[in-house]
Amino acid sequence: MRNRSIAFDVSAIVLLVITSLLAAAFLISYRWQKSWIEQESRRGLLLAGDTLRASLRSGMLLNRREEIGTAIRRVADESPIAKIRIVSHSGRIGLSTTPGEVGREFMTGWAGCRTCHSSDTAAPHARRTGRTMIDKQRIRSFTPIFAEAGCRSGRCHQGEVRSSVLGLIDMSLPLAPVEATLNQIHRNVLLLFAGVALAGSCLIFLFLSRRLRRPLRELVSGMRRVSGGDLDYRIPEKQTDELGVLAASFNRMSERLGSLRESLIRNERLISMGKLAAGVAHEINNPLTGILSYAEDLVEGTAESDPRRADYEIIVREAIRCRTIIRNLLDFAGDGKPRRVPLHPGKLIEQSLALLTRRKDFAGISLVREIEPGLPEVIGNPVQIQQVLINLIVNARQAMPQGGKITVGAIARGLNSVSLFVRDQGPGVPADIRERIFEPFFSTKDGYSDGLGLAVCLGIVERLGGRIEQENVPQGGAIFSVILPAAAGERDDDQENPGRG
Amino acid sequence: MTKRILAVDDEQVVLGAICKALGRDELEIDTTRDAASALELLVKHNYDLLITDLMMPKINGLELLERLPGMKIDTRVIMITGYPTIRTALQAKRLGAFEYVSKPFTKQELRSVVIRALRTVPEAQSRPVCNTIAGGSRYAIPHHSWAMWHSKDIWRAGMMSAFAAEVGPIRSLQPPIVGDLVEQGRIAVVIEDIEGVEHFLHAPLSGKVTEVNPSLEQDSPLAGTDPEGKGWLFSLAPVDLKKELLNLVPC
Repeated sequence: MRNRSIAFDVSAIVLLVITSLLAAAFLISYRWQKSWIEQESRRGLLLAGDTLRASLRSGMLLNRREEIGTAIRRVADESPIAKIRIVSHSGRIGLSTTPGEVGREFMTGWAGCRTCHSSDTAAPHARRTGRTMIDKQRIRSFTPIFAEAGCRSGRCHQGEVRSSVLGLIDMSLPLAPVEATLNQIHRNVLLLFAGVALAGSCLIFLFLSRRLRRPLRELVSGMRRVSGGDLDYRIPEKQTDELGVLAASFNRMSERLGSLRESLIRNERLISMGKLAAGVAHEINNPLTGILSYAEDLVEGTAESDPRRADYEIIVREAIRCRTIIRNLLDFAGDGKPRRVPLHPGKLIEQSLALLTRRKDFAGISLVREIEPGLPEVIGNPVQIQQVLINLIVNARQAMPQGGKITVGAIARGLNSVSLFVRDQGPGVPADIRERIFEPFFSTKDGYSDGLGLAVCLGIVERLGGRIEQENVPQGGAIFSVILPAAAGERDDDQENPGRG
Repeated sequence: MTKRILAVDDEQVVLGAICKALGRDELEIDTTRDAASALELLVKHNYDLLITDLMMPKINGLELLERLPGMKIDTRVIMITGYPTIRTALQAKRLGAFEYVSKPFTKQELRSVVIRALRTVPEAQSRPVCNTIAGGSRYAIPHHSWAMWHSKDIWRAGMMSAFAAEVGPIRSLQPPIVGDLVEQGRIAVVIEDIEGVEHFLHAPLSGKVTEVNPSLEQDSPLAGTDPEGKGWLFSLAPVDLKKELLNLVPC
């Protein structure tokens, strides 16, 4: 199942908000417009009433009914006004655009009449302007026809001059066409609004997709891969915003997890190797005790002149050498941390080189020192670090069977570390075995291999809080760097130890 | 008078090695392959020394050691161990072992301990395991070596007087070299007695050696005559003091 995206949610919310805001605005505007149009229609209708009254005046004075009738029909036909009636003061319809109504009583009893007629019989209040009323279908205007001097002299209203109002013109304007126009306009406005909202949301959706969805998807898929165990996977760090920072932090985390896992695996291998070695060593102890004592006894029991004595001495010497190897192995496999002291990097290198220069196999090799002055002391066990250095130097020697130069040096690494390095002029470490050289029991040497191997070196260095790096030198040769913490950095987490000052 | 020794080990070859190592001395050595028969022999005969392996089936060396006081046997015991951790070695010492020797041992290593164990010096036995010196805080590997705070981060180390008494007059000393690292429970000083026997003194603490007692250069016997005073051997800057003091016995 695909999850809903943030971009979709945000766009939907934006669409909803814009739509409701526009709908509210639309409703308010609709009401305003409708009431304005009604008001204008009322005014226009009254104006039309006044105009009609003025134009009919002479006809009325001369009592030309036919002419008046024709005039109102024409007005009704040619204008939006649907219906015109002229009502006499007696309340009967005198003339109408609807034939057949003439002579009928006009709207008696309608509540609206009371505005001007206080009672059926009383004369209406004099009003200069007409009035309008509105219902659902139409607007009606009632324009009063005032009594004039001429009216009394005429036939029609002789003796009926009690009131100043002799009748009214009733016009009705249907609202349907007006409303239809209004609705048409608003439908269009509504469509326009909807279009704008939809287009806006789409734009936001597209923008957010570009801005959020892709990097988020990359993050999520990257996290899935990493959580699935692929700690080498890196999320592309294209952006500089928060998501970019997140991706970068995540990558850093994966990287550290990766190296942690590597060192865990290595440690596990070293531990199992250590256990194996310890087991073997303990088993060898007793037979070796026998060999050593019996051989020593043989030496003592043989005359100096006896040629066998030298052989017995070799047995003793080699048995003691076996003992040293076993004790080193047990030291390495032991549970305790190696004892650590501050050591001068230069001295360590000098002491290691001193042990090697005398060796026959280093005859064709020039050993060069490259020690940076003013280096801080490093933390470690001198015996172990010398072991590591000698191992690396012997490896370097074995990488150059034809002889050459081995550079052994020390340089500062950052603020709190020192790197002890061994550089040879051999063929370098082939890329396909670079990952494996630190594995226990991995060897490229078919026969005799000196020392404990790189796995043990790495174990020693890692237990001292350091690491070993390997690079090939572009000019040819390999460089192994043993990076150890400087003594000053060590004190922070070891302040309770009064043994160092 | 010929001294009588009982050696216990479950492996014949180790018993053979012990006999070979000690064979040329005037000693009578009985051997047995298990602790139970060793206890029987100890009751029957009067041995001057018991040499026992630590790791044995059924009853191991430490259990054997623990049973001795209950059986009123006060024979000195040398514990033969594999390459020991300081903890097991000192555990043996605390349970009353006279000394421990790790396998594989050279003839020299075993002999020197045996000789020292057989030198019953009344003076040494009368001395307590620790001599408390007012104002000093001394920690010891019992019957062996001591360490005492000296100044700021520096501790001094030397022989316990009981050890010195058994070594007897000293002919020469091989102290550690200044700047070297000594490790607790591992050989730090080789002491040659007047008879030419070399004795191996274990360092009471681990650390970098900062000084060797200058008085000993001219006068090495001083180490034996005033082992807990002017005859101190070397001073060191301990590296793991807190943890290591727990392995020692305060005096």
